[in-house]
Amino acid sequence: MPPDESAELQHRLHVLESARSRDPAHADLPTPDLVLVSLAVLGLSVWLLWWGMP
Amino acid sequence: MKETTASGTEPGQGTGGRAGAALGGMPLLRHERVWGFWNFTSVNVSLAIATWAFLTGGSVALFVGAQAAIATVVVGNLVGVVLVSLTTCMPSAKYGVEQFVALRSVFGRNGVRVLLMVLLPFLLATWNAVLAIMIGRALTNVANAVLGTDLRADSPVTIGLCLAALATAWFLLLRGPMSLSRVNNLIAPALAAVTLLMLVVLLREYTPEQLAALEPLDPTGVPLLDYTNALEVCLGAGLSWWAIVGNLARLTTTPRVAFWPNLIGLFGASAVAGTIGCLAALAFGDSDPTTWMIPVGGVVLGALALLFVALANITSIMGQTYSGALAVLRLHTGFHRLPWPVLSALLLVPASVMVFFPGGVYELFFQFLAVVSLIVSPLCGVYFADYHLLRRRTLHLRDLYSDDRESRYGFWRGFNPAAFVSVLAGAAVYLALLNPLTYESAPLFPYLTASLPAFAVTAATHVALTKTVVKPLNKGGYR
Repeated sequence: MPPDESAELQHRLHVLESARSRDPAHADLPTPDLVLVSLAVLGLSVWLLWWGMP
Repeated sequence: MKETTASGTEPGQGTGGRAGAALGGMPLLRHERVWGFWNFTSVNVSLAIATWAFLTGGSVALFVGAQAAIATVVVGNLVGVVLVSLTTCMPSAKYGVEQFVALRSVFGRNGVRVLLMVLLPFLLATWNAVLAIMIGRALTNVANAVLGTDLRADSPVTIGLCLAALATAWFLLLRGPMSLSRVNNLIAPALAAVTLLMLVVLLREYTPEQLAALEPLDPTGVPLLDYTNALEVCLGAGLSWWAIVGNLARLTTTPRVAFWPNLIGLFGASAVAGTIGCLAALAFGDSDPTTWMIPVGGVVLGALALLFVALANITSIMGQTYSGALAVLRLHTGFHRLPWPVLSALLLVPASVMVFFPGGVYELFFQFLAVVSLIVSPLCGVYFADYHLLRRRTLHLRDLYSDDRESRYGFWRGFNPAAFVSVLAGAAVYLALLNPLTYESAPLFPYLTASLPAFAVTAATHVALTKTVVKPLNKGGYR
């Protein structure tokens, strides 16, 4: 990696690792969302595959 | 991809600073995450509706009629997109890193290089070739309808148009993708409107009962097998987002913004366009969307739709090529020294060769989707198992960029054999269930599909190997 990019990378890592770094993106998908999508995918898939079965 | 357009990054303007963050795959800072919910949704819709959905719908029409097509298009795309989104979007969005950087935690640095050397030439070249050929055919059909020419789908003029499309994409990439963001914002809604208009026209010509009675174009004659073949095609379409969607999601502002727009765009828009593509293919007896758009919509609407298709495909080629450039830079530091025009041109060369054989590439689309599934479903499985089950959704950012001797993701000389063995196990399961080139299948295939068992076996193998071999040897930073 060129020196200027290496310095840029170190700067970014320093910023992201600092205690003051508060990024709402740095989180997991909330559990209710996971539960909702799991149930919806399962329910919709079973129903539709049954409905469309030749 | 369109991610670059909204990020404000310009690949053609050097590799340091902000541009380097995108091009060199550095972690993004908070102010560089510029996509909110509707921005990301809009990008996903425009990406999804950019014609591959029509092609997928046409492929489904080979196997099943309308009702089964709706079921398989919805379920296949839904399951594929959810698996891909959970696997690739979550880590890339959480840490702001490019997907192939995050994958170092699974395969190791050199393992990712091996992966890229296998994936890039095949996936990038074939997708770009398919899109370019579709542009060539679309413009040929517009010329035939509007100018009264009689050009064949594989004529030298069509091939010339394919090459012109690739050249246009390259030229626009030189100007920087930012210039295309405004065009994208117009094309996506326009194409969506034209697509829905196609559905209205189709429903005026055919009653739902007539559509339901239409026969598939090339069925095997075994209803359950045809049904699962169609489902497998759609699973392949959903899973095929694996290589690009993580790079898009890293520009989003929250995990919810990184996830749900995929279901509206990549799933919803794909399912609608795929269903319309399938119904039109059934009605007009041809799986190629560029041949039925004018018969469905008439000269004006059909030609307009084909022109939008061509424009949307050019932006997709640009996006794929840009994403490919991000990946190539992971291969060797020497690529950093290549000027952007040269690098982007090199990435378009394989597709430029493939468009000279338009029939061979384009008409084998459903086999291509199965090959994509053969490759991607195990990759999706190993990444899912590693990130969600083994690492409990925690990566160490600095170690993703450190030398192998210092990084917890160093594995064995930057290579994690357990991940590759798991992927091979998944691919072997896929091949045991379905031959992606001939669609000959095992007796269990109609009940299981091939992609889902491949995903599950890969994930289980990776968990087992990591817990019994990798972790006890204190490699990979697993806790």
